[in-house]
Amino acid sequence: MSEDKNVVPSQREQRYDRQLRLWGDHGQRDLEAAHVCVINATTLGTETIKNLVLPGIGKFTIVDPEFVTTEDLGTNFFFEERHIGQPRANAATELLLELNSSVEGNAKVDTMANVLAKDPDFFRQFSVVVACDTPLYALLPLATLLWAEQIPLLVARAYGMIGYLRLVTPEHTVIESHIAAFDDLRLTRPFPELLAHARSTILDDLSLDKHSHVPYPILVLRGIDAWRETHADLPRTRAEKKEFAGMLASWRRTKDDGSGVADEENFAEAMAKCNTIFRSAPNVPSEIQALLDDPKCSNPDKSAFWQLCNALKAFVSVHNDLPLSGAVPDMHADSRSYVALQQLYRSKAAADQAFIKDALASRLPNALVARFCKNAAGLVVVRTPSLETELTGHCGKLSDAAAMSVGDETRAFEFYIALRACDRFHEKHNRYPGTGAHAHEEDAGELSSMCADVLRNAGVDGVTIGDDCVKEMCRYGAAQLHSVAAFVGGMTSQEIVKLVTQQYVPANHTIIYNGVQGDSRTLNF
Amino acid sequence: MTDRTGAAQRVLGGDLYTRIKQCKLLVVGAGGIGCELLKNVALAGFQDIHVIDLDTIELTNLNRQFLFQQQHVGQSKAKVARESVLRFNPSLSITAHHANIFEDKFSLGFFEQFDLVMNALDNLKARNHVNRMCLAANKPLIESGSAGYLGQVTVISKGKTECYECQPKPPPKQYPACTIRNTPSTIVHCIVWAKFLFSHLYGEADHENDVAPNPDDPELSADAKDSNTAMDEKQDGEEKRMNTRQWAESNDYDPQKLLEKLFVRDVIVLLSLASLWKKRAKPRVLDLSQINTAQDTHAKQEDVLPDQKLWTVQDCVDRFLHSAGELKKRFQACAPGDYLTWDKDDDVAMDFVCAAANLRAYVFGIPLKSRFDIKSMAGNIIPAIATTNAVVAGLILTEAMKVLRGDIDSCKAVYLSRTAMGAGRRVVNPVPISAPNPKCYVCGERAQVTVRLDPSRVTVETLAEQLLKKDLSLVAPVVVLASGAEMIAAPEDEEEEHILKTKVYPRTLASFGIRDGTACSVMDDMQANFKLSLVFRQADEHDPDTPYEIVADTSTAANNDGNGVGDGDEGDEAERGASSAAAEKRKHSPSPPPPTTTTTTTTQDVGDGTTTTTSDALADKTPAKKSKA
Ligand SMILES: [Zn+2]
Repeated sequence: MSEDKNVVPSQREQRYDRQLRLWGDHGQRDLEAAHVCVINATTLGTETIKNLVLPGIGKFTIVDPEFVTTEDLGTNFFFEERHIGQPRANAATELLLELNSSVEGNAKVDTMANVLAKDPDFFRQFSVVVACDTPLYALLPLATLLWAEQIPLLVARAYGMIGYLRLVTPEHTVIESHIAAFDDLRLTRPFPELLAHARSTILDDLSLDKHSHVPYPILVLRGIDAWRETHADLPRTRAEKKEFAGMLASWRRTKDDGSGVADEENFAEAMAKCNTIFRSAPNVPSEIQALLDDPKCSNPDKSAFWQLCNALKAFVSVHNDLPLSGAVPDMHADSRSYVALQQLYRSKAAADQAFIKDALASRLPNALVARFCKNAAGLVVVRTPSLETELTGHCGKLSDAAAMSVGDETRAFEFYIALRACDRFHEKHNRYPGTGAHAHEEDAGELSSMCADVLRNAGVDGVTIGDDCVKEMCRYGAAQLHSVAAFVGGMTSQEIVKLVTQQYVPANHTIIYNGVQGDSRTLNF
Repeated sequence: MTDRTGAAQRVLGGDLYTRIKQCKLLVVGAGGIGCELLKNVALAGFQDIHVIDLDTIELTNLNRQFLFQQQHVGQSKAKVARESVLRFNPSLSITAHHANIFEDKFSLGFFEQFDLVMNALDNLKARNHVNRMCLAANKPLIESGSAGYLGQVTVISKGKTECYECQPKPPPKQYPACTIRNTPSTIVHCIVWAKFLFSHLYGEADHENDVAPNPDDPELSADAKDSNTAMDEKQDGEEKRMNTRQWAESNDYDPQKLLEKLFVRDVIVLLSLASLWKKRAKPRVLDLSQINTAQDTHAKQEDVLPDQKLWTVQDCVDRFLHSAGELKKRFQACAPGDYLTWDKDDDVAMDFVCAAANLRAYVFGIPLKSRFDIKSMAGNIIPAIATTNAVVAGLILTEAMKVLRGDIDSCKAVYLSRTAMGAGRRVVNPVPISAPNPKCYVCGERAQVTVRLDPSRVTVETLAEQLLKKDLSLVAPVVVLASGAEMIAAPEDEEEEHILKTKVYPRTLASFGIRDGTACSVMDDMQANFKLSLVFRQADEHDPDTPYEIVADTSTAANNDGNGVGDGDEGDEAERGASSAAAEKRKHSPSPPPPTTTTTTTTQDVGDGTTTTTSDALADKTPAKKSKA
């Protein structure tokens, strides 16, 4: 055999082998096409980039105006002694690029605000922007721009022992949510070819060997035919399902020597599946129906996801069902009948895909259409509130979040408000509480009243932030602890991978990590 | 505060920071979690760090093990990890051990020098071992693992938390040897067979684990005579007497001949065992002239990596011949006594198993699988990514801080979720750590005996007859080693008793791998609920009259004022001498080796170490000596 058949994996395949098993080659290609902007090469920033360079992100760009200090060396693995006094963006880019030669990295030594003022288009080139250790108020102009462009913004912070992560995006769509679904073989509503195939199998005519290798879907379909002779409806209640399984059991052959019922595993399989096969569930799950009812589904924008949903809507209106995935799970069967069954499902799935393809307003790659059809039961749309909504005016849901947090031992809500108050403090004094020559106690008083301001402005009543939380925040003095930054960096990069591959479902809320307890909460508002 | 450590001191507080600085730390494993962990501990302020790892760096590590780069492939993980961390902070003291954790130098004394141990391992066996060593040394252990987006961290502290072995792990999956050799029905059976074939042909010579048709299949017992004659007809006398290894040797490992033997002649032999196929579809002989080259593998496989394409039968034949040719060269280049070890990341070894498994699947009418899928199953590959490991290593540090604060009670077993979507869902899920299981034979407080002796001088007989039966009042002692192997089994009949007394009793404890710090579990076949852990300590010298000393015996401490029962009186000593003499006399009686009837698979290396047992583990035997295939 010639080597050009290329059956042996390439270097790239080998390097990424362990992750290709999670997100596939198309996920890897999405990752390699992505360009991520990281604002600030703090420890959190470089840890986040490290976790993206390793799996092979396409490009990263660091925007950071600061210079490497001795203290940076104590928490950031990607600076060396020789970098002291150099721009952080340059030093970090240099060392991070050593980790993977196929990644491209750029450094921009400037503040985010300056870049935005001079060249707003700069930020439009990115797939995702991550703002590390930046006060929320300072992010508003950038957040507004990215929101309009539908570029996801992740806000990540490691503040002493507290970690914070928030996704800001008007909409993020996921085709491959990897939410485990049933193997839906449509046995209660078989397509004509499947039914015809099942009816062509005359169980009584088969030898014992063949009989014990009939795939269970055929047995169930033959069973349904027999059932309908005496029942108007399919088995629905527990008792009916049991009765159905009992009927199948009675079809098993006796052993050749007449010493009892033959051990036919395919029948056992069919009987075991009765419960799930006859569960009462709508053909189109309610989550998917909600997507089809979304205004964007009827008037899709240029995104492939909504165009596909539009085509899906047309499909559902004709078939009252989702496209068939085409997957047939392993089952007890001889390979000839298994392959025959597999081909039936495959051709039906191909026909469904062809329908979707024809219903599309514009052409999309076949592989994408196929993936969409295969995963149609698990489509997800994530939407978050804007940063503006969170920071200005009353946020009714914040009161709910406060109410839900009563008794929370991680005190996530209190730390969230305290972090917002730290930002307010920073806005007023241009420094974080507990930094500079000031005593912690002095700042604690002011921070405490700022916490009250934040709550009042957000319209949250009847909640106070504990003095101990306030004092802790002052004691941290915005200092970064490596292990907390490493944890938040891991989490942040994980969410970025989900965003750029459009696989798995990213967190749609604020995550607060308590690094003392090693516990986290998601705040929903 | 402008020095390096300013931030850590400030956030952690001076007291905790000092404890971190003074803590002598052992990190076991420099893989996926290990790399992240070494960085984290270096930056947290740990100054004195030892790291142990047996492995060398491979290309598939580089997507997450960031202390290693392309130019390091083939070098020691422990050593390169050390250098990479030192490059960042040259003032740290890091000691790298490129060695196996089971080596003698990592004795109990070695473990006792540390204040804290962190596991970043990828296999159950090593985890059990470190668990036992840390319990014996009474050192806190932080245990961790990851698999894809999932991960977990927990803390083990003797007497306060459950240990790694408190909850029995599900036993590794076993496949009956007859299924593997005669009647495979799934691709997994074919892969197990292909891996055994590799070890049998190119691994350590082992004439018991053949892969050829097995005439001792219990299904054949009814017409055994009949089938044996059938086998005689199909094989010439010489071939019948040889196992596959010997046959391959006598045919110079010729790939073409091997192909024909495995997929033609052995299949004909199987077909002759008629009773096997009464209820099963018969296998088909691989007919090289009949293979349809245009065989449809699948409809067009769009969007698929080369490795994920399904091989045609012709591809399998070609790959089999090619890889068997390569392996022949390598095997014949080995030094005498040396051999090849199967490695999923070795392309030739992987090709061989993929081709052989698929050809066997074809013969038995089982659907073929892609190399990518077979590699997953054969290598027990668990997906592993940088992001999860970073999160896990961050959590390890949080638990380490609690341990160093002396606050074990606040430690948690933490599990990572895949998604935090939805209100109330958490990224991390900490749960309280269970209390020790009093019945745990590894850490159960009330059932541990520590005995000091010289394992190279003390025999199994002394252990069984004196220590266990006489001193500890066991009736029918069963002694199970950390590996799960039974050193002393309760004899079922006279023949087994004979084997025990003549083959096992004369051996030294050292010959079973017992050394300083080894713990093994002792049960009594006659007392259902009896279980204790026996820990061995190395004695400085061996006195034949008092071959062992019981150091601490929590189960009988009340009766003995903590002095143990090993001090003994004169009468005891006399009896000991007598039984040693009896052992000498029995030493040379011959007896047959016990028959093996099942193919056992054990849990083996996975991704960056899940802490669960993989159910479809398809590992080989672990060889004592290794030379890369
Ligand atoms: Zn235990």
